[in-house]
Amino acid sequence: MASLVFLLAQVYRHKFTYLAGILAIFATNWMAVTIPGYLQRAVDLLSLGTGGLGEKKADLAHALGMILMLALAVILARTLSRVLFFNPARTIEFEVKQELFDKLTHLEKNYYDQTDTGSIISRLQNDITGLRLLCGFGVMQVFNILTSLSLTPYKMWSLSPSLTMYCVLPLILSFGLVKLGIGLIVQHSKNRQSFLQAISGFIVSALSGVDVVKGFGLEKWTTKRFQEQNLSLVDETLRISLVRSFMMPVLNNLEHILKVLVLLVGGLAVINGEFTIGQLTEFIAYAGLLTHPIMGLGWLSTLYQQGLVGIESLKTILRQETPKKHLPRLAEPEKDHLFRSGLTVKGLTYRYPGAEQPVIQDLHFELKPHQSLGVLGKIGAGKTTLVNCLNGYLQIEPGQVFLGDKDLTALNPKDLRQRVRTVTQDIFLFSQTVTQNILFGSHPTETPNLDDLIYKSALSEEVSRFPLKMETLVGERGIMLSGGQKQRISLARALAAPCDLLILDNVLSAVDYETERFLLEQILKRETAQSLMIVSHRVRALEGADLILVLDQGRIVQAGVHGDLVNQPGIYKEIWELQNQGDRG
Amino acid sequence: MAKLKTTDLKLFKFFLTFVKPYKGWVWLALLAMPFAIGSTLAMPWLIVKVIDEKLSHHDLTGFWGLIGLMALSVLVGYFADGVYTYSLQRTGQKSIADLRIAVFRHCLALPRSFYDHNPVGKVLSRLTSDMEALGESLAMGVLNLISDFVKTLGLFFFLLYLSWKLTLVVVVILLPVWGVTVVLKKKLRQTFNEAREALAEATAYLAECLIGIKTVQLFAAEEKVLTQFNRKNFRFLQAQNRNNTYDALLYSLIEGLTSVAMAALIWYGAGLILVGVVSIGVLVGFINTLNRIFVPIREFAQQLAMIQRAFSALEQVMVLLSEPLPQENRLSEAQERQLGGFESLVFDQVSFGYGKAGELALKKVSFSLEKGQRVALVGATGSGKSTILRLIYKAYEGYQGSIRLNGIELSTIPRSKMLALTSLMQQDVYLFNEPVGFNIALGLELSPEAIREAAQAVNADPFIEALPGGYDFKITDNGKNLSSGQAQLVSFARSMAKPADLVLLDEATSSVDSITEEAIQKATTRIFETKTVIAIAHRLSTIEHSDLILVMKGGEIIERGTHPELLAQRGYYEQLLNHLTQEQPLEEAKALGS
Repeated sequence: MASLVFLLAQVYRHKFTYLAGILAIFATNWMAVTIPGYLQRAVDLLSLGTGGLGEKKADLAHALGMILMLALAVILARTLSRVLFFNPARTIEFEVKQELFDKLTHLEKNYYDQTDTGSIISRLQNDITGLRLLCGFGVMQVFNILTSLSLTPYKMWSLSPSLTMYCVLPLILSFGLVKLGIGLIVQHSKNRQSFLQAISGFIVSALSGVDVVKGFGLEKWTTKRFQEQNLSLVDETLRISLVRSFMMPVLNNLEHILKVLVLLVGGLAVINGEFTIGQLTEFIAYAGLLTHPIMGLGWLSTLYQQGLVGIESLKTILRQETPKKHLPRLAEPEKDHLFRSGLTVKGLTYRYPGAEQPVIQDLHFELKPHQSLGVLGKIGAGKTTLVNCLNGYLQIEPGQVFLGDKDLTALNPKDLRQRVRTVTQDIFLFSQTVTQNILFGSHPTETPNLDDLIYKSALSEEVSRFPLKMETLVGERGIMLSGGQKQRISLARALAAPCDLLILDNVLSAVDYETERFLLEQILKRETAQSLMIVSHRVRALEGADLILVLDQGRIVQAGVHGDLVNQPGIYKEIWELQNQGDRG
Repeated sequence: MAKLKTTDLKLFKFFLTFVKPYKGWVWLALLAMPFAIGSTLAMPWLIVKVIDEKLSHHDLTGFWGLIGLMALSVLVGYFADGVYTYSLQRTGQKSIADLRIAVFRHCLALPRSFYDHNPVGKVLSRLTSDMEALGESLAMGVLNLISDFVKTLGLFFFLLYLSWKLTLVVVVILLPVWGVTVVLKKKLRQTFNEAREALAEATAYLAECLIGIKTVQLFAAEEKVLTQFNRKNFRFLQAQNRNNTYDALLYSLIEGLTSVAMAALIWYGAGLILVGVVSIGVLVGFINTLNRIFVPIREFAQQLAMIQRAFSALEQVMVLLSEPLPQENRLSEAQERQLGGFESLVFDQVSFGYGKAGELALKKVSFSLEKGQRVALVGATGSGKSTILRLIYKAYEGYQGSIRLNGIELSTIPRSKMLALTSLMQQDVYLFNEPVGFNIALGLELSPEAIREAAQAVNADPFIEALPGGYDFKITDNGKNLSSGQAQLVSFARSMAKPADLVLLDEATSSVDSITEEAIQKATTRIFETKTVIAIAHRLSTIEHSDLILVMKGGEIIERGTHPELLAQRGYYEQLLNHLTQEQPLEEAKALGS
């Protein structure tokens, strides 16, 4: 029901186009049934023979002229009717895709943790087709059937009520059988759709990691997995085609079944002299006319069922809630003041959904404007989790993190992320040009100085060696670049838009020491961000921070400045010594 | 036009190769066809017989028999149609499934450089929506086209038998209809290809945005990507709308032309009737059959549009399949034996550039290493270190100069062989959506103990044990449910589990903290003792124990030697070390090194 409401709402938005389409289809059908009338007249005139035709020649010419004109008008009307139904369906497809995409960009981490990308893509590609067909061909068929199905039964009844009644039973029986077939088709289509989603997901995953697949000789395993999924897809398709081949054609044969029936019952009546051959022929002709819209109806319900399956699947995305999207936006001056008194973290604890142990526990610290904060810790200490709590990527409880006097959970993520920028360790670049990637996060009206940016990100020299300089395509997910280049482009991307707090989550791991030092120098100038938070494994990157936190198993075990920490026994000192020893050999 | 046709023929022949294994089903369909056609022809004949012989004479004898025959012919027709449709659909679907596997295999075999220019989303389109289009058009288009064609041909002969003159009129009208069909067909294919291309692009962008959703959200770029997506999607909408218009025009034109043909037939027929050549009955018969001949032609246009779709899809698939695979040389048995294990590797004057326009990433690089040696590559970012590794594991081909493995030129060694011989650890992590244990063992048949051992070697065992389900913990979407460091450790453990002689380290531990790294280094020292190692390193402790250090700058090796030798040269290496050991006086570093 809800799916039907959704469908009608989509159609309603284009009511005028559809209305024009309905007019066009009425015109088409009206003209199409008018043509046989003129045809009848022309044939009647011819049957008058040589003698009768002489003075009626003008009438014949008129009838033929009308056929010609109507034929040309029908071409126009029919083209229009199809365009007027199919094009709004395409527009609906476009609009729903837009809505879905908008929703998807606002969905949060927990949604993406549960849903794999391939299946989302499959929904936007395959399920939407069901909706489109329903909005285009489906709606058109409804009116097509309505027009053609209104006259025929009336004509049949007026010829012979009893014979009409005989036709009802096979009609109902075959329609019932076809309905059953449709039920099976819908059920198998649903299965098939999920197999298709699974196979899409597998393709994306296998081809993204094609080098690993080859490197470990996994071609056989991958192909086998693919083959299994492919087989279940084909099997399901064939089950559908079995129903299509043997159950659905019952409707196609309805015309013949009715003919046999009418010839049997009507024929007996003719032999008994109760019915004429002419009436019988006429009745058979009507029976033939009847099967067409009924067939259309059967087909329409298939389309309808499949469309609903698609809509249902699309709605699983649209139904997802994005409460944060509707949080009130701040006014410009308010936004500018957001970070005036810095960041306060009071007893921050975070537990991943479903996990027993919290990843970070009871963290307290403050970061004032114009200060820098360093975070050090071993793998799994909770560093990245902390970062993701501060930039709103993870959903934290209210009352734990404040920007100025505002609770972080009450802020619209857009406001928050315009003031707090993060460079993540898992870098994602779009398969666009270097420029487009760097300008990704900045407002279209702002034009930052690109030369300056790539200089600050230590990219100038390498960019000058790229074949198309700044317009070089970086390849899918930046595959053309080295790890260090990707890190620096993502750094440039963060520097391209000014913000209050810049968080660098272990982002300089793949650059050499010389470059790292240069970059730190540039970042520490804080030309674009007033405050900094640097997460790193390297003590050297943190030494200059105004406050350094050492995390271990989700807790702050040490806090202070470099000078103090190196003189305390603890993780910081341990790591510092290891790194220095490593450097010294 | 002729050119298009030969393409179609080529595509058709290409598809036939996939149909071949299922020719039994095709025969079954062909067997069912005469029955289907026979029953369609029997019906009108039986009706005429019933009306003329029984009804008009009010004769009941034999009436039941004729009706029984009619019922039988309906039944036979129904089953014959069913068998025909099902066996051909089965053939089609099975062939498509085989084609899909062939394309997938091809995609797996394609070189890395292919994916540099072709996003996975686009390839996905070929493997899913193009295949769907193919199956759909096979089911709806080709099948009906064949049976309609045979039936129309039968009716055409029936018309010829009635009156060849009137048939000529039909032919005269059919010719321009055909012409229009051909023109519109071409337009249809153009717009369809355009739409498909636009759709593939929009889908690829969608895939990117979804994979990079975190980046999109953290940069508050939701609106920006939506605008971009809409732009691509709008291009698809426009192309599709143009396609719709041509499609509708084609459909309606042919429908309308039927009526035009009727008028022409009557006009011409009137003259014939007046001179007594044709009877009214024949003309009426003609007009009625005309419907039955033009409707298939209209359907024919629809089916053609469907088949166009199939051909476009097939064309795209074939383009993908014709992407050249890296030439895999067959090795002679002697060479196979020679490559049984790693012995030596020689770079002789090797140059390499990525794009055609780009500068050379390597310029005349020469070095060699023997079994058991450790080589370290040092230099600033972008100096060509990674390129050397990429050439060795054959991610890229087409180098100049000579690279010889155990004396065999690298370009003649199949990539699969090379990948089997080497174990690569890189920064980029790729994990399967499978349990952790599977991700470590991958293709190898490893016991749980061996998997655990590999994990222990890189210090990954403790965190894996702590995961829910331990080694059975299922990884999702390339390790999204692990931290980056953890993901790197899993991928590292995987490389340790692989029994390869030559180990390539591409800053494998960059996402790992120092304490963990220290532990890894200790654990791997033992394993690396028996192996040959080429490492890209920034860490002095990794570098200084190397048997050979290659110092790279701008794609060239500018210095080489052992740590003490290089220090003694007081050159670029010393400068690099200076930066490496910022805080310590150089003298101290030198003293420690020598």
